[in-house]
Amino acid sequence: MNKAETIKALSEDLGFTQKRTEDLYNNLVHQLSEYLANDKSFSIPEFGSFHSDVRDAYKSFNPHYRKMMLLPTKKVVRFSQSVALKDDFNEVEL
Amino acid sequence: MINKVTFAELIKSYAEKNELTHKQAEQVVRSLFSFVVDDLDKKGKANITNFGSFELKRVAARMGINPQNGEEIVIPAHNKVAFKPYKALEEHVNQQFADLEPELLDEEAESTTKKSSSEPTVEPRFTPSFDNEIEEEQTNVEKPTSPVPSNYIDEVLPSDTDEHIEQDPFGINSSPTEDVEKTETPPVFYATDSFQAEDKEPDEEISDNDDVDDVENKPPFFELDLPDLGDFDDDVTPTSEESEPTVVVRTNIKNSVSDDENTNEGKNSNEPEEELTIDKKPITKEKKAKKEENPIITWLLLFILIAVVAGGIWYFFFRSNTSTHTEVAKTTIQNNEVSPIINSQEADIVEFNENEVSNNTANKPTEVDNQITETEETAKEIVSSNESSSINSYVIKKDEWMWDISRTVYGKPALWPLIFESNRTI
Repeated sequence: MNKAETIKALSEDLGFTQKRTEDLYNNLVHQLSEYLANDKSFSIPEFGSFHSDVRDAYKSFNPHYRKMMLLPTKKVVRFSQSVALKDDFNEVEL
Repeated sequence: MINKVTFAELIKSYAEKNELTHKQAEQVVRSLFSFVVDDLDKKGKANITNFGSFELKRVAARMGINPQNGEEIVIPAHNKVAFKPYKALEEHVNQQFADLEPELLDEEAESTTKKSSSEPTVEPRFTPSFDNEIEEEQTNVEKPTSPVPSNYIDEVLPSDTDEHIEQDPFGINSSPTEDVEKTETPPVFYATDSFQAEDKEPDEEISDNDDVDDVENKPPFFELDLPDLGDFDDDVTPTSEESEPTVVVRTNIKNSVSDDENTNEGKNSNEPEEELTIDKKPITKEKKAKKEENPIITWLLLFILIAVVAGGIWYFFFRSNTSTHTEVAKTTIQNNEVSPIINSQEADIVEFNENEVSNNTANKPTEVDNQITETEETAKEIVSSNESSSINSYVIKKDEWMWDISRTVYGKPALWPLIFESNRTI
């Protein structure tokens, strides 16, 4: 489901125009991104939680040059699925 | 998490910014993520554009330890939802460290051993990737451990990076050059000294073209001109190494075959030789010119080219002086295959070939001044060879050229058909 399809489905759920829905969609994504950029974590009920974390610089092997490579410090987004979400995709198999 | 934003706060903020009721705002968020869950259920992956993509991954069963009583337990295989942020989100979050870039370190295989000793930080990082569910807990654990090792890294890295930058170009260049040397060195043995000196100078002057990359293609082109004519004969099989074994076989055949037709075909053979030799050198010149762009590679390629050409010329003289009889035998073989009626036609064809050859010789010198000298030399050589051995040398040459070239270029004489196919147009 790409963005257009998502917005169309959302507009049907909410009863808004697609243009209005697209604004809402973009604002939501922007707001969530701002949270993560400002080191704020948040969680979506029955889905999971997001937080940003500083990953230290580390060395890794570059196979092309056959040398070690220093990958710099980086702030990354991490996601942790909620228990409900985990159970959603595992109950059949257990 | 100190900076945790509760879902209620998120909804409140979102509703105020977008002039929505709290209920509507919550519905937007929940329905959006419900689409994600649906997609994950149907396709196994989903995405929120400009935010991130979710994918359902299978985690294999593994051993773990019960944190409460220390017993080993089996963590069964299960599915997990993995998240990968979009580039936009990644960059937005990473603004603080955006100016940092990965650097190559001078260390090589040794560094892997150093890793374990000098960098305790590496190990804790790998573990969280395995334990997806426990990521948050482990990340907390990592932070206290990481700062200490990070200091070591800072001390060690700057020196390594400087050294690395200096040495990088060498490392990059070294590998290709070595390969080229390996391929090119063998042909040197075939080269004759006298011809090398002559050929080198014009080659260097001419180099204007690009396309140095096609090293593999070039050697076949050399070979191309000669092998085309020689393909008609089946003599190729005996010529595995050099002219001597082939000569013996051909002489035997010669005795069986009548000698009457030899003269006609011998003429034929000489004329095509001129064409071939003339064609060769322009091609080689172009190739050589192309090669010069990369100084080291170009020198090696020039060496190979000169060696091949010189070797071919050397064979030409050798055959012409020693093995006229063998040449005659080959011609007789061709005649037998064709049938006598065709022989008369061949004589006509020979005349056409002669005309073509003359045209070629006239045209080519005008094209390039540098080429003229080489073409003249080759023409002289050809004439002398024709006079000395009035007939056959070219056929033998062709075969041997095929083999020799394939042997020098590919390392296996059996690959001569490649050369022949490439030259079919000629």
